[in-house]
Amino acid sequence: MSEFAGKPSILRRLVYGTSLKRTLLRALIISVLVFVTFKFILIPVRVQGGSMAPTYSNRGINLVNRLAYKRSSPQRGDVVALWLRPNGSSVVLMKRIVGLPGESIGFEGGCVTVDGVKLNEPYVIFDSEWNQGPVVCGHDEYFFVGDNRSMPIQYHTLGIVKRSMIAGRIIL
Amino acid sequence: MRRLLQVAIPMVLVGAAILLAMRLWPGPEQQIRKRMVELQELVSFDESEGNFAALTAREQLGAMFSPDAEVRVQGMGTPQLVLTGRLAIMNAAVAARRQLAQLEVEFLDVTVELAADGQSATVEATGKARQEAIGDGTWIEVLRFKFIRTEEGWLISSVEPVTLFTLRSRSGVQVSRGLAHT
Repeated sequence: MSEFAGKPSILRRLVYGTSLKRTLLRALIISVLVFVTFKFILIPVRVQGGSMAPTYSNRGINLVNRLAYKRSSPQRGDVVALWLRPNGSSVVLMKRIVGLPGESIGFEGGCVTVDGVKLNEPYVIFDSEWNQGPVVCGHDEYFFVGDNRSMPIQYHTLGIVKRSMIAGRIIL
Repeated sequence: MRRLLQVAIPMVLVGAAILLAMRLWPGPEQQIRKRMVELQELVSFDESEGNFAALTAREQLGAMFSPDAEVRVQGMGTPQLVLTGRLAIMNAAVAARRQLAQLEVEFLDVTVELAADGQSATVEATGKARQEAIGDGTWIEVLRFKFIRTEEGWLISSVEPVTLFTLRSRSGVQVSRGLAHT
């Protein structure tokens, strides 16, 4: 028998380590962890459209934290993913929460007003002339809008959404 | 091992037979899902599409709808488009091809709910349309389709947008907003 008998070759060690069984087990555990993480906890999304510009650019990749609101409520300024369908969907909207339950939200010269007071929005870079009368968020409802107010309001999706339709917070 | 094969082989054969049967004789839900795939192919087109192919798509599209079908969709930043009757739908398909160089339509997350009598069905799907010419030109809307069973197969009798978000005024009046894009 050669002195190297029983020792795996370098190539073999590079491919599956010293023990094939352990390597396969590790690969299985990592695969399950990756699957669970990216399927149920951090959902990858690709941005399509310019309604969140310049904060988020078209075709950028991002992650939705599905656990963000398990113990806390969405806060003003949070960028969230919204389901299109009550039971979840493969397409989500990415918008910013500007109104909280019970608040009255409107637009004056492109600025959001909360109960009649203009909201400081450092993330809005483009000027606009959006004007819209106030609407009231009900219990468990939030008002969402995009950052790109340079788009005409009719090209924009904004409005009131129930908390159950908020998929999670955008983390990047 | 031999015993295992004796069990496994018949199970695989039975599974294959069931799959084959489902493919050859699809149930109502499979038929409707196939219709949705056909629909997205017929309303999509690209620059390379010739006149003959466009004409064929127009005819095939018309054959998917009932003669009195009504289609209501909310375009991006445009008033709601209402098409009544099979001919209007076919003409709209031609008009779209004249106005746009390319259109890519997908129906995602399709759900099918059959009526108890099996003669009609309600389908909900997230419609996604994209135009390459416009960088951000992605239009998304949740649509509700009504299908009816006829001698010609399952035909679409209506298409309407599903209101997802509302802008509610102080007076309590709800203003529906169609979904524009992400």
